[in-house]
Amino acid sequence: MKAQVNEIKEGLQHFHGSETVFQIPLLRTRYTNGIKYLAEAAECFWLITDSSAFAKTLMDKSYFVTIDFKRLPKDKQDYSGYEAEIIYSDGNGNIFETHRYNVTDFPLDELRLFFVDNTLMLPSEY
Amino acid sequence: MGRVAFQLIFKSFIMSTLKNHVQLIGNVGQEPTITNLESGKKVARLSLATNEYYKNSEGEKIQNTEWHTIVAWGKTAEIIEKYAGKGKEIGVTGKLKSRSYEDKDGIKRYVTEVEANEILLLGTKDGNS
Repeated sequence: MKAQVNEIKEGLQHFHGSETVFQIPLLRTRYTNGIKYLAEAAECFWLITDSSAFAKTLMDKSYFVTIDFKRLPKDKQDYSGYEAEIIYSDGNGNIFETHRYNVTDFPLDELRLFFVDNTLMLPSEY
Repeated sequence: MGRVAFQLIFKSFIMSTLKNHVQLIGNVGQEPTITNLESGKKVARLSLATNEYYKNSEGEKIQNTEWHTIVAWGKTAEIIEKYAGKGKEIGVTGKLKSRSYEDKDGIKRYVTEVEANEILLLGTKDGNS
């Protein structure tokens, strides 16, 4: 698990800008090479579709949406009954919405993504 | 697919499918009226009969016919003009539209029509359904 986490973290550092964009058919949103790598390495297409679908609904509120995945500390998990949360904000501390997930097999403890111009990307690809 | 994505897609699917949605299968009453507008657009207008059957308390089979006014524009109107003559069985999907006009006595009349966005030609090739 630890090795996989390190490998993903290292892999994510290689993406700067994206020459190719991919499209999610039903949602008609786009994602970058870095996101494609993340989805495959961490087996988290659910995160890509969830964050794209919800961030798209926020586009009229903010051109720029940050998506923060956070695994809650163990004690907070026991207390709240949730393992992780995804916070959608405008990047200036204004939170639009928080989605909580009871369980998740996402390997990383935290991750930030950007959704700009109908495209989901890693911060390094912005 | 993630839960949130599924919910949002499902909701938008339901909204677009249920919001003002009409589906009819029936027979064309009179020959459709085709109007070519000055703008070059074509409008087709026809009445469509849908039949429902039920048995009354005496066990007799009763046919109940409802008449609907269908309006179609552009390509759909062309298809109606070419293929949907009197008596043909067709399927229509579209939406309800209401409008008002003044009749020759100056009385305001309200009509509700089905604006077709898709026509399905049913029945046999030689015209009899």
